[in-house]
Amino acid sequence: MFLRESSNAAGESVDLKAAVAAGDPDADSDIAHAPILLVFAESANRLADALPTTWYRLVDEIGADAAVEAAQVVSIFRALNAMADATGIPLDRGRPPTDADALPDMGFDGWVTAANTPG
Amino acid sequence: MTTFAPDSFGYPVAEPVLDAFRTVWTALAQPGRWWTGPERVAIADVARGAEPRDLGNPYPPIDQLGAEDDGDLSPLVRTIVERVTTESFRLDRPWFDRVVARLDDRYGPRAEGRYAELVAIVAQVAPIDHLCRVVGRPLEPLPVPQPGEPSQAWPDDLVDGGAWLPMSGPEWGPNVARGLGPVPEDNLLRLGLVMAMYGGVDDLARPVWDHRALARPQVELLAARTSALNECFY
Repeated sequence: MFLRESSNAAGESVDLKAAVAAGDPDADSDIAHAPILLVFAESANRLADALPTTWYRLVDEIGADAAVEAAQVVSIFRALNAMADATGIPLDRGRPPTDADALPDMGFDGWVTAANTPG
Repeated sequence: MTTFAPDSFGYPVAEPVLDAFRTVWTALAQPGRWWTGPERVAIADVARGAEPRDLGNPYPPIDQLGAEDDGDLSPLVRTIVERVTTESFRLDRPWFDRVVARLDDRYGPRAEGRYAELVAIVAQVAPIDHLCRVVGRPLEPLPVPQPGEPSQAWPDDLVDGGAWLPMSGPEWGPNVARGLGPVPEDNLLRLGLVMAMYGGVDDLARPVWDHRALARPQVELLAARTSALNECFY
């Protein structure tokens, strides 16, 4: 996945299982502002009641320009997820953005969508 | 009044992003390959208002839904839109096959095209609405539908790529870019949103970003966590 490639290129490490799969804000990570980004991703994805509070924290920590970019990424990836699920596209093996060969290491085999995703 | 006026957001949304939104809004009102302008706007309206169902109030089986229009859309089409919008992770191949069979009975052959266009509309309107909701901005009024008939043109360069729908060729890129093959114009609009809101082809080729507010690993962390929350492999 692009996260692994880009963090390697930036010389930063991230515990993929803890950060991505579990969403643990305390996961080991060198990515700047990772804890608030993880909290925001969850809050924004679900439009949680806590979103306004999280949003203001995000703006305070990373600035308005970066916060808007973060909101854009969450918004467009929700739609990419819906499109992928609704069309049953197969995984791209050995090619980002999916890099299906890396997924079992992250514990994603138990997802409901595992049965509906060819490949 | 300007559509998606910059000062309507309260936060600095980049002009290329707003331009992509305006392009989507203009095309949404026009006839597509399979749906008229009023039908496309009605599909967008249903997607906009769709809410996840309570566990005790599931969607009715696809075969129990009426296929005749009662307004701009039928209960069948409205329910398909709602499920794609709110619980895409639960959709499976048998459900898709029944959807296409029902649409085929109602509208005639090539019903995959109607389904593809419906998904494409959801995939364009949902991220724009969601961004507005996240930053606390009122939703943009939907465009006024324009007259005209759908072309019902079937692309002649589709391939079986192992997805439920016929896919565009490998030259389009990864599967997530190819999955709406029957509606290439709407797929391009959707990809325009992806490039504006996430990253363009040139951006994605560069593992290090120093030209944006967020660094590449920060963007990818948000993307990966969002996909994990939605139990999606993409």
